Amino acid sequence: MYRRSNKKLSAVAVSAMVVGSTVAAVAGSANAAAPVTFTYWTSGWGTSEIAAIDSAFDAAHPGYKAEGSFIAKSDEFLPKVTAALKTNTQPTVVIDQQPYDLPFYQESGKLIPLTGKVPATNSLYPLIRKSLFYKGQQLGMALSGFGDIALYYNKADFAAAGIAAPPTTWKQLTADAIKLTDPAAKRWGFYVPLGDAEWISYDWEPVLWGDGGQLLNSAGTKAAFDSAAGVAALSTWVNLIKDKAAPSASFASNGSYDGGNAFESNAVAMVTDGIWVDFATVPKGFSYGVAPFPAGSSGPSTNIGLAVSALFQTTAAQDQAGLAFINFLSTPKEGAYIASQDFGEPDSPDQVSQPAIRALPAKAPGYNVFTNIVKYGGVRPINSDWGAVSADLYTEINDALTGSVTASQALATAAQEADASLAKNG
Amino acid sequence: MVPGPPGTRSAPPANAGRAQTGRARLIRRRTTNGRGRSVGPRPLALPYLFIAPAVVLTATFSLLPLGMLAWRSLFAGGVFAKSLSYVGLQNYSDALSQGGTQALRVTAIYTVIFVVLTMGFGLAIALLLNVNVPGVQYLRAPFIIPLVVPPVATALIWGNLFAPSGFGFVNRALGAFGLPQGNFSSSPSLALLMVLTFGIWQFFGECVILYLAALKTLPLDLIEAAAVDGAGPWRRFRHIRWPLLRRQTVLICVITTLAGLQTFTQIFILTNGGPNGATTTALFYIFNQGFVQFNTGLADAMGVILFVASLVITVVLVGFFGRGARRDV
Amino acid sequence: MFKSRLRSRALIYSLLVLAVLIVLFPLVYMLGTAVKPNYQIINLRASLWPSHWEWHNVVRAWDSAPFGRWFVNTVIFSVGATLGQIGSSLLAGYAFAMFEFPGKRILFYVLIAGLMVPFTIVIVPVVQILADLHWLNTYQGLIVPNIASALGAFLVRQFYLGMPYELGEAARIDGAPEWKVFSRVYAPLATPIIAAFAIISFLYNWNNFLFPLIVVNTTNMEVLSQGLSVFQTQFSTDYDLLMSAALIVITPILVVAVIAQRRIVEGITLGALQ
Repeated sequence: MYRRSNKKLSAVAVSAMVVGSTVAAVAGSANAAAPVTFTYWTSGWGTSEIAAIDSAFDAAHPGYKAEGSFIAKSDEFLPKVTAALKTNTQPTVVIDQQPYDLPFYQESGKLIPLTGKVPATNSLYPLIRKSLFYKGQQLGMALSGFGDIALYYNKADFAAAGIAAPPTTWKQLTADAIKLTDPAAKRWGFYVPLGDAEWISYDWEPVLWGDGGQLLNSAGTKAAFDSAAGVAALSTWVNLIKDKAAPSASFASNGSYDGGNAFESNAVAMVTDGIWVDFATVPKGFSYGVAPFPAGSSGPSTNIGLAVSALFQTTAAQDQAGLAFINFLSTPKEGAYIASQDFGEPDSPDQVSQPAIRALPAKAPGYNVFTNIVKYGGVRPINSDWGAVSADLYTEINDALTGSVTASQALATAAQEADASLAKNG
Repeated sequence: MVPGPPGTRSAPPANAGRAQTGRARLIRRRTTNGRGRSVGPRPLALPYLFIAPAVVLTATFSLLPLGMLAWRSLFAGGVFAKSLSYVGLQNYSDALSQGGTQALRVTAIYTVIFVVLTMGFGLAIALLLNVNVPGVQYLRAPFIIPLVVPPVATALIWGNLFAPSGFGFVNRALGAFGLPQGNFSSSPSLALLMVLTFGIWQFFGECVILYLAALKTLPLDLIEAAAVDGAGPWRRFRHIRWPLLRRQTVLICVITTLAGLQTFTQIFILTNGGPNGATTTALFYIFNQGFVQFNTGLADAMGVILFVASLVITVVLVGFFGRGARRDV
Repeated sequence: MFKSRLRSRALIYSLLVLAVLIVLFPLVYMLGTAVKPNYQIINLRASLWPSHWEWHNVVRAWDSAPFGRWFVNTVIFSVGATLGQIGSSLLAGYAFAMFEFPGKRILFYVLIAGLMVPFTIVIVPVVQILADLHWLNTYQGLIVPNIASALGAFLVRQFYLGMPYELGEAARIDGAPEWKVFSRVYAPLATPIIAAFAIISFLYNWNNFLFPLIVVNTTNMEVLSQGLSVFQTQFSTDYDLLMSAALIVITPILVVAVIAQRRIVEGITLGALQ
């Protein structure tokens, strides 16, 4: 029985190579006669979305052809792009869900800055536009369909506790959370995200901003979150857990740390989360509302999570096609389409009136709240050290939340580590 | 895993064991050089041709990249740096002082417990499956299944099973038995426990397969003789089966140890290395440093450290515990 | 004596059944999750059993991505890599066991050392090598780097170490060259061990996730394991679709595993009784 498969081995290997090289040859010859074809990689679009966008683009630009590939989810995206850049096999365009990867891509020397090349940049919301620039150059273009964070609250729990309206400030939220906590029903008032993950930083930053704090100094060289505002912001969370108004257990599940599952299980009555909770199906009888992100002592805030498109150097013709593609993604219709796929926010006013956007509130009732708070939103710094700084930050925040250090100690340590990271890579 | 050579079943019991093999090898040594030349044509290059596919491909796709990595680890500068500055072993000391030591410690603790429990359960189940009771063959298949299912799916389930007090199945079960419940994601030791149990559940099927195959090849006559002499099942195991399994045990131990040292995927999905590095294994540290924090020097250095540690451990395992196996190398 | 035999049998059965339940429980859970509506999965208070069965989840999952194409790719990759591993392991294991040649020890260590380099560490250098060979995004780029298997060579070597040299005597006396001695006499005897190794190897290759992820750039060359990522965005997950997709991915492999494992153990037992 074995001997036959011994010969089969070489047959399979040979035919595999024949198939492989034939496919390559056919693909190569197809490119020569057809319009300029370029590839782009995305970690955020499903295959049907890619197909829709590609055909719309090809129709609008007959000389170009877009071929998108869903590569991997965002955690695996970076190793792949890194390896591609290092070996000169990169795609022409990447759609990246982490804007702070852009300075890192720039280090490869193969990122083509978009300064002045994308007119739609000027109609972006100012804070978003600013976040695309690094050392004076625009590294990427914001993709429509960004997300922000709002406050979800369980209406039934509120009614039972006799609270008429959702809290508007963190002070009120703390008071309400204490009232809403019911140990017998295994329910807490609010969920404070626990764990070592980017979400924790992302969710905490607007608390910091709401209290008037900043993440980094204006030059982006030193940490600034260990200020009094920072300590106040972190203490809000620490006290929620200390007062047992928030669970001391982490409800992290499969890499998601936002606590949406805790809210949907009614383990907590309130949670700050993104729009995805809103369009998830809920059982009949589960009634919830969406309110703006709680304001701090300085005012309201939220955090804007942005996806960006970036242009890499391939061939001159492909780069031209890629640039046209990036511009195409910002046209009102396409931008609206992309935003509507994930219930994201349109990133410029001319998309708001598009039918795709107008249809969203019907499916996600809280959509308008998310839209209304965008103007208060901050954006994470675009900085190649952000990954390290964020990791330092969320590790220490988690330590403070679990009670091993005080809030001020945690932030001081995090600032020290962040300064070291920032100094190292410049 | 080694089936007995055909024909030795009828030979006297002295055939089972290492002595016979050693003698055969000596004979082989003499006759290969002598006989090979005089009887059939044996191109001098033949052995090299035989081992070429495996060795050349290993060298090209594992060792050569490792060499490139080791070379880069002596320099500072990111992945894309055009000019690299030589820093000697600086990256290594940095890696060890910036979380690397903790990662190695976590890896050591994890691997030791992992190996002991995985091999223990694997052997126990294999022994049970080896018994000739009717219908036992239908009970073999399930143990392969955890090896087969993609970790992405099973890790999600695992995380849900270990959800906080009052919610997750494990906690609800503990509560039902009156035992204290725990928060598996937030407590360092419990998080490690969660990751460990997942690893053991996922991998022990491999030990079951390998041990079962090994058990099936043990000479029955020795064991039956012992049974006739009045030795109970435990004594038969301890004095006959276990010593005979020694060579396979070393192999299985090496495989399991390497699997433990290279734990990564479930850490990523279950805990992301937290809380506060309590479940950061060496490989997770490497990934985190390389692709999240962009500290390529540290990642490279740790990669080399992990490799060297794996090599040393393997040599020790084979040398110390596989005294018989070593003679064959 | 009959009673104690019965008791010990009952003990064995109950222990085994208990072990099987523990092993399978998470998977039953997975099956239940696949057919649950999404909110029930997320809701930690919900019972483990689905309230109603949404079999169309599986259809939805299938339609969300080119699973058919990915199936084909995965089969090609798994089968190719497994056959390659069998071939290279058989040859190398035999040579290391049966021949003496200069440098044998070092070369064996080279092989073992390969086991100690997890792919995660060497992603960038490996991509560099494959890019230089123009093998990225090709079947050969997927298969060839996975052909060497130290485990397989190890197993085969141990197997042949227990074999006497005299087996090939008849063939040698007849003047057969060494490689014929191998292919005619020794190789067929390795069937049981090869069968066991083939299954383990096939399972690993089917589920190999990181390597195809890095080597493949276009959707139509992707393998099934990458397909599962489709259902996970950065902060949220379509759990019901993810589970359904996982079901799609593992069903063929489960079938193969269940059928084949009986063959392996039968094969090994047969080999041992010769």
